[in-house]
Amino acid sequence: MAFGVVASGGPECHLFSGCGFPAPGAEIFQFDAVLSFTIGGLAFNISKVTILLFLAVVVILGFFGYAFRKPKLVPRGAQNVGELGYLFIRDGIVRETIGKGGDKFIPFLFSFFFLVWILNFWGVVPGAQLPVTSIFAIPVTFAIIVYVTWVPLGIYKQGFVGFFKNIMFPPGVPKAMYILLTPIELISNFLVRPFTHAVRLFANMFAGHLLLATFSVAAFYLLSFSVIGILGSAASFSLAVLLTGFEAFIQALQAYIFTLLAAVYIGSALHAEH
Amino acid sequence: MQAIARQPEAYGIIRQNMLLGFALAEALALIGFVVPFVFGT
Repeated sequence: MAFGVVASGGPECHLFSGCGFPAPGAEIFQFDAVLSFTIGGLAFNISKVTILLFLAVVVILGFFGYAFRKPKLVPRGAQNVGELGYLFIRDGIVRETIGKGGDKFIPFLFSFFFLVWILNFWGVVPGAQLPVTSIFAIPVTFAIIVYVTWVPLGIYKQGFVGFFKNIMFPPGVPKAMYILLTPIELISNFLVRPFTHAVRLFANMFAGHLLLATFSVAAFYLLSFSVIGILGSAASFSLAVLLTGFEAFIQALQAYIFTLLAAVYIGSALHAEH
Repeated sequence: MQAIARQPEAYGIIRQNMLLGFALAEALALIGFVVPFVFGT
């Protein structure tokens, strides 16, 4: 299946060879299981997605375990990079959205940022070339984890009544507006929020991967001995390379935004808007 | 840009809110792009 994108039209499928453009679709996100086994009635299917997921965990644990194996007061080498990552989460995300009281959540958000980033990053790693977060189940799981963190946290910190009152009846609004505002706030905070949180990450990675696949297939398909073929193939190839760089940027940005939104949600649970 | 120029010390917070707005607006367009792939055929 790894070669499936190009093979979808066959290796002989080129412009003027009589076959249409084999546009990649949602099928490039489906992978056959490499390994299947059953433990206690639960069926496990290990595919490329699962392997990359575990590999991401290994990479993160390996890097940070190595960076902080013997932490020194004056950091050198890998510890510098590790501390830079930590400071980025602390000063760039947590301190600015939650405030000082949010330092407890740095490990949570730190793990999220680097896991999401590495999972996204597989999309531009040669050989892997699949952003794992473009499989919908994975961002959904992440969004659910964030959701079951901030909702109980808000109920715990503000009390059951206080938490819902703060969300459904934001202060500083004319009384009559609550007829309109309360249902909107309720739906947008408890239903739309987790949904868009997951879909934003998924859709970005899905669209980006599809874009790269389309231009890569186009570069292969247009390759033929004709002016338009050579020009089109070269243009598609350079676009694919350029967009790979752009995707690398988007992947880091989406990991940042996912973590930022998680921090904003936790912040809104910790202290009410005023 | 103007906000950052006027108050450079608030750069972090302004950038963060700009990115947040960008993400919230972009998500709608991307949902529109992805839904036909997911639910089509």
